[in-house]
Amino acid sequence: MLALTFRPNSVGDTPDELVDIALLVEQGRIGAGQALRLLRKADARAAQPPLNAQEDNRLEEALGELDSLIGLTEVKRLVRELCAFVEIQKRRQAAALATEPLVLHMVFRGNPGTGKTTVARILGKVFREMGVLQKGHLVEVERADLVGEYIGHTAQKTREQIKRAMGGILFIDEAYSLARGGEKDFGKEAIDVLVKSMEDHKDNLVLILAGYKDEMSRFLRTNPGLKSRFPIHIAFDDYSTSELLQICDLMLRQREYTMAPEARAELATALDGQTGMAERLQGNARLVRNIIERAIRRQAVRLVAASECSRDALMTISAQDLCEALCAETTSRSA
Amino acid sequence: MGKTLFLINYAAYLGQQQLKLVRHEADQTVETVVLSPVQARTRLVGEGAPHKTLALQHVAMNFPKAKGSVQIELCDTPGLVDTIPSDEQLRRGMAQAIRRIRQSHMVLHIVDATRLRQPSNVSDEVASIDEEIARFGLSRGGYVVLVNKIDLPGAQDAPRRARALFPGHLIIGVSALTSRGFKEVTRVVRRYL
Repeated sequence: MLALTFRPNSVGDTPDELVDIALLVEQGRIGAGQALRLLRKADARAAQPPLNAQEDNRLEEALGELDSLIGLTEVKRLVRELCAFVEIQKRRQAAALATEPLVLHMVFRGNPGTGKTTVARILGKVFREMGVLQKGHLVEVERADLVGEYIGHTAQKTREQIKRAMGGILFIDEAYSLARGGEKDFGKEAIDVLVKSMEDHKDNLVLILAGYKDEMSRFLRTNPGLKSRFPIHIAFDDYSTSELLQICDLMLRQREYTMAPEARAELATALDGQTGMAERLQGNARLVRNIIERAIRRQAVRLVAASECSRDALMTISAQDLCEALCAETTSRSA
Repeated sequence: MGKTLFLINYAAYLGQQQLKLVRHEADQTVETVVLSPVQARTRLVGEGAPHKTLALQHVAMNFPKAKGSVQIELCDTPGLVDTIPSDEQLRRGMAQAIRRIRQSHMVLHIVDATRLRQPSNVSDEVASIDEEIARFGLSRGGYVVLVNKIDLPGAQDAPRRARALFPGHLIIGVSALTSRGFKEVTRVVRRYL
């Protein structure tokens, strides 16, 4: 018998079981025939499960990431549903039953800062682990990336973006802006190219249209053909104040900061919109993040003057830091 | 069975001028000798040479692929026998062989055309070692049976007989001595590369 190794340096670790079997042969306790029988059985046991288990782990990891997001109960339920659907389609295929073609193009409707991009990114990972998409990366584009300046330019630009997104997700933010310019606008051409390619590459491309709820609904109403091509619609509701506070806590925990109770109360009032100071903060996680980051910078300014500060002080965001951050955020928004 | 001769002649067939022969002794030491194919033949399988491969030995060679080549390692393992040998060296050699086949990408199982048995329908426990290897090969993939010595008179139909003995396997008749069948072997190896 001759054994052939293609990558000479890859001959590495020997699994424990194998060492034992070979050792038994060396000690004369079993013959070569029995050793091979044992190996065959060990292989059969080990062949499939670990690989699947690893795949499951990665999938669970991606789903866990989704679950760790605050709120979004509706979205989470839908994603679980999709996963189950994909899995069952796979099993049906294995059992030679009729399967639905997997069309996973989606429409995300929701206000800014409600987690649309974050969910899309996680979906990419989930689909990759489930074997639906090859790469599962997210390509984020907007009107300017798709629409060109002269006749013929649009199709070229749009196709380029689609090519970049192949094997992953093409995420079009504020998709209705493509239809905004009227009959002669090049946006229409971009839509045509997108529709064509989402049909052609439905095996290896997921298209997600995202945008504000009302504008999105109007956009899809005026393009009936478009609506029917997106089987999955997910609504991203605004976050409630308590959810926003949870998000805030999570962000602070990740950054190893804590918030003084007064600061937290201050933020809660601002989020409720009662002060009028930051009414546009309502339901928006991105603005919460900006405020926290701003507050962290304020805290740094406050502490850098002091010659010495405790570990506790380094971690705490005071009410003053937060108020300043809130004021700055409101002025920068209204400016 | 001619494993060592196959190793040398196949390396020569692939155009290796020098064989860097690495012997893995049972006591974990590794000994390297560089020989030309002719030297290797006299030293390893010539008159007066030991007729059994007692320790694992391998030769790295360049395997042609597309326009370039990739490096492969062909490893000549000590023979596996049905019984449990009382000689410790033989047992060690078998253990080495078993470890090695598990780590390899392909197994070329060489059987002697003149010693093919009748297909056995006896129970699992007493199946001959060759059939046991074949069964193992079927479960792991990347496995080919090479029926050696088909140059000998009366061995022409050996591959056909081997097919009955090893159903479901890829079987190639070769002659390590005359290089017959090497082209087919190369084709199969390329498929698994």
